Amino acid sequence: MIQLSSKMKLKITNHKRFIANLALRLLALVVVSVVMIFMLYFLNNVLYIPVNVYFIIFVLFVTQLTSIVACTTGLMVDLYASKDNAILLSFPAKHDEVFTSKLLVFYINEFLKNLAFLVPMLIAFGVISNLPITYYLHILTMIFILPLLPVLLAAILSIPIMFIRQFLQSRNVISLILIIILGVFVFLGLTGLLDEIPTPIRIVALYNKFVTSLTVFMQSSAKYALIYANIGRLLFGINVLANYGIVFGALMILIALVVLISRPLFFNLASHTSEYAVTKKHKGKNKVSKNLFWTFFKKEFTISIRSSNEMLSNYVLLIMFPFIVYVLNYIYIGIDRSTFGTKLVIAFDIMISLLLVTASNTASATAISVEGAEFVLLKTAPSDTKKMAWAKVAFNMIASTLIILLIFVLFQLSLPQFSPMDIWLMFIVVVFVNSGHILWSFQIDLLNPKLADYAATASLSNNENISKSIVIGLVLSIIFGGVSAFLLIEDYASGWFRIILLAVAFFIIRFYLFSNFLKVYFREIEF
Amino acid sequence: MILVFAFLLIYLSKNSNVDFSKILKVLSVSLFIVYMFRLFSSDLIDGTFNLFKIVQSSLITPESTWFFSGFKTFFIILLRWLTVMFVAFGIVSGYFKQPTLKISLGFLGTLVVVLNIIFFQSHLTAFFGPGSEELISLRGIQYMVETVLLGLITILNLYTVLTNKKTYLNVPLIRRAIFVTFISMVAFMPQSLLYNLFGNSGVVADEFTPIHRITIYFTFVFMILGYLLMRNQKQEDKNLFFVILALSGFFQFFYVRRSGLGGLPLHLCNTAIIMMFFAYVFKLRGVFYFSYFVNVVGAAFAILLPNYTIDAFSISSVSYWYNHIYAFVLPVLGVALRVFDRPTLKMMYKAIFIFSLYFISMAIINAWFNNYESVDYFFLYSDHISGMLGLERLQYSYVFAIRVNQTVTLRFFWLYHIMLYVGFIIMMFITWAIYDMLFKAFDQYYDMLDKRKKMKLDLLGVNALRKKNELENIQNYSGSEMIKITHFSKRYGASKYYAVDDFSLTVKGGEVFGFLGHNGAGKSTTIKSLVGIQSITEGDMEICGYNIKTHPLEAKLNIGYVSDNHAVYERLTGREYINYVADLYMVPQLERDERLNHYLDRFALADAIDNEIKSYSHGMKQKLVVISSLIHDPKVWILDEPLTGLDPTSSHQIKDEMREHANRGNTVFFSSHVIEVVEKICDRIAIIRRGKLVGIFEIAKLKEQGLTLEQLYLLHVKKD
Repeated sequence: MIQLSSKMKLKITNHKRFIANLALRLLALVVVSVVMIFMLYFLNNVLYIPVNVYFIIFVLFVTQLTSIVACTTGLMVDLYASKDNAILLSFPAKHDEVFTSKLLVFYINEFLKNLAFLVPMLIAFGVISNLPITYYLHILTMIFILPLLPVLLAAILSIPIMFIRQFLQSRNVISLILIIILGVFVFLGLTGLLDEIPTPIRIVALYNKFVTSLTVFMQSSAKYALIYANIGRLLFGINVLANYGIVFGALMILIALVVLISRPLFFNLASHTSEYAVTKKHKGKNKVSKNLFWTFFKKEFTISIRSSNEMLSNYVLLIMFPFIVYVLNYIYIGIDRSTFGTKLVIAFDIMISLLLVTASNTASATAISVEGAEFVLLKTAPSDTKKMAWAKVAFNMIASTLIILLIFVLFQLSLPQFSPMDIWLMFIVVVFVNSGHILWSFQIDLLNPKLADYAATASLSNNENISKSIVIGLVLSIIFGGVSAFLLIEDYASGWFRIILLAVAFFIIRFYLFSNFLKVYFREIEF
Repeated sequence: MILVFAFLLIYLSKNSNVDFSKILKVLSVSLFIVYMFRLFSSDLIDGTFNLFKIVQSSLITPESTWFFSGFKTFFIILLRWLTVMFVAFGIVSGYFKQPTLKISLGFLGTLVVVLNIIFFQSHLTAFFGPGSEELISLRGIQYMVETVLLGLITILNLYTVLTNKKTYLNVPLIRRAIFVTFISMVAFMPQSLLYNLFGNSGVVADEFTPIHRITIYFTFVFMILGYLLMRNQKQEDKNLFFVILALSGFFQFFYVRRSGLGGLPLHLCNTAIIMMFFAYVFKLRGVFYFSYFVNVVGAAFAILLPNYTIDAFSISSVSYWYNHIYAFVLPVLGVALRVFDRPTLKMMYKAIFIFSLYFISMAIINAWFNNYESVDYFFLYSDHISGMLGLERLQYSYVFAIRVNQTVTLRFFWLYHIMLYVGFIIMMFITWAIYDMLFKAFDQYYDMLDKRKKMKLDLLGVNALRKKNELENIQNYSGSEMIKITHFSKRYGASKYYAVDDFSLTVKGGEVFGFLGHNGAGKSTTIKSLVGIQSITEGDMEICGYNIKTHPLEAKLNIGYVSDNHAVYERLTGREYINYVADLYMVPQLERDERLNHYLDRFALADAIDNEIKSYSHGMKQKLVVISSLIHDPKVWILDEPLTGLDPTSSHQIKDEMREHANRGNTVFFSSHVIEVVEKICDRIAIIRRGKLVGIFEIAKLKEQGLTLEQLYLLHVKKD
């Protein structure tokens, strides 16, 4: 229960509040269900995507697949590699209890997630398809069964993945080769897929083809949806008893596998992550730094270079950026566009670029928090340690600007149909807005650093500063995308000038705010 | 007649018990009633301004058909414009005492009334057309009564100003009055003005055409300017500002004649104009917050995506913009300028409740009225919104009809209505989130400015104190008082309990000083404040004579601190970490090399110093922190629970170093739970219990008394 309340912030302080909370959740369920009715209607009647039993099986399969992936990665962090394992395992509690409590947290998390999306969608589907009351009764059972599946599957799948990860952790060359091979496969796969699209792209014809292919795909994928196909069928009242039997049978097997395999291996894996490993020596020499800024910058650089995993997870979206931009623009340029369309494509490119770039600024949104207990050093040092913030900002700006530069070079090389002028003007906009966003994200952490949390868990999961930074990035992308479309359509040449002016103004405002907030609030941070 | 009445009223107030301000209130209310009567009377309000009698759809009338010369036409338009504005000023003058208002009404208002009397005949011509002027008619009498009432109000204000010259007649006030009058004209602009002056614009203000964009920019500029102009004004002035704006909104709404069921002000932004008037005049919070959450969203959509297709200068178009800009700006500005408090989530829920009632009412009224006439309140009965979203089929496929009688059938597009309702509720929550975000951003910004101001003042104080200290040369590093804590108290945040209360202590050079206390006694709190990690609530702390508050950098330069947790960067090597700390303490190369080599030998860490710290054991990390804290050879070495979790060898090495450091004339101040260690290496100890200093004891004297430290400690701490 402590796990549950600390990780999920459950506050059941009194019955009144509990009932109010429950009523609010029910209301939310109704509201989301209505929105879903609209969406399903839109899919069926406007986009002409058939909303039928295959659609439901497909949605079930896709959402649950996502849940399995999320649970697996989540368990790898929270089950085996969590810093609190060292404390939990030393408690007078059985390892099984620690293991079960952790899985329970994931189960409830999944349960709430389903309540927010899957259940309203199933209800909406029932409403627009005029399904009988038994359908809703089956949903009631599925509310409890569905979240169990990804958690159990993830508990099993995370074990071999953990072993592979531990194997690769000390073998950098093999990891690098594997990443390159994966990248090449992804690129080849993408280009192969794109070659399938006939150019010039005729949207209407392509759309019809897309809908037909999607329908066929949904129908054929139902064969491979395994247990989710059974769930889909039983919801529709097809062979109810047999399908329930299969679902419960599968659940029993999964529980048995978890009990027999995952549970005994949990302690082994959990304790392994906190065991010491002697790493290779680095050549070292005592050297006085030129100035304090350089001291901080050097430290930041060294830590980042040695934390390749963190770096990779910070910039994973940026790594995906070229692929996404390439695919989207390949489709755009395949379409016969008017000048109006071209301007919209550029505005859309600005939006997508900003979306991906700003979502990668999580390191800035946790820049102070990740100092954790080490922040004490900055507080006790007899120097202007605010420079640490500037060093981090500079490092993050340089790193992301270099990556963006590389991406835009690739952009220009792979899509010669775009005017180089447009690409580089876009680059200027993206760099300025992104730099402004880095300062903004940093400011969020400056005002509400999670030093104690990080010092205790060494984990950034559930960090609200990251969420805020991502939301701000999303809003900025939409605003700049919209404003760009607006200004480019109005007048192309002056439009670019005004967009850049806005981006620079945004950067200057953020710079002014950040430097002032830093002056005032840095000294107030206490640990 | 006006003058006679005015003198009578002044005489009455001077020679009887009738209060002057009460007379003004009666006149204000009378003017309001008369003006409202005119707004709702059969005489078109357009007639007040539309001197050319132009039909909206026609082109501007040729000059030959004008009633007056071009100059006179312009003059009459201007006069009518100013008259309406002074009517509004007159209406509020009974309730607001601002000198600006009195000066404006007294001088400019009187002048306008005089001009109205002089051009009375021309006005009648404008109302009725040349040759058809009728003084004894509804319009003629209305105009006469209005002029008389306004005249009385202006003269009474003029009298007030002239009899209190010292209060009112000064240049800044007059300048302000002129500015306020001039700027208020924007709010009262006749809706036919643009058309009268320029004819058709030839464009429609939609789809982001230049004129549409100008309107959007204007909305925001108006809001920002309003905010900047009124931000630092008195609350009374802000109230007046909003009442005049709300009144102008009300006037502008009824500028256009609205007839039939469709003309009722039930459409969302129309209701806003009426509600804003009542909200600002009578301070109705519930009404205001409904507009704040509901109307603003609707108005924002209307401004961005107008559904008008007529010329931008036509009266209908200008009326549309006035209504929606007011519905958008007034609520937002009201909260921004703190005329109304920032709403809580509870108010938002109330607004949702009122909106739900409004929505249900409109669904029923639409269903009912459409049996007689085509109405479309809140777009519930047309496919204006569903058409934009491609949902016409959905709207017309899900219909619920109740047949009341032969002629009346109530039809509800139930699914479309539910979706619209839910969509709007979602929009309200999004609006709430945006408001909340903006409030927080503004609060943060102003807090920062306040703090920056305070910081500057503090700095001035600190600089003055520094100067004084330097003059008195109080730096007393002489080996006698290395740590001096005077009446130190610490409270966390807004808590009223003291973690440490009135704590005083002095530690000398060459001493090893132990700091004992139960868990949560306040040891770490004291130490953290002493080294500058936490702020000091009350009292002073000095290190080598440097006050940690006024001379933090000098004080910190003399401190070496070992925290109760391992403050180390796991990805750096031991050497990199030490160099990082040495850089922070500005340790020169030679001393850095010398000290590091010495301590590496001493703590047997040389083999691991170039490994990443993540591979270190607990003891190795602790030793690394100890080395880093000594790398600048501090005069005062402060350690918080340094021996916890160490093996005997490591523990011994650190204890030895503590003793040796003190033997070199420095001070060692450390907290610990291990009483035996404290007893063995300390010269003196302090015991703290529940934030209060229990006592300071010399170990040698205790030994002489035959008392062990454990006995002493239990004696004091057992009191719990």
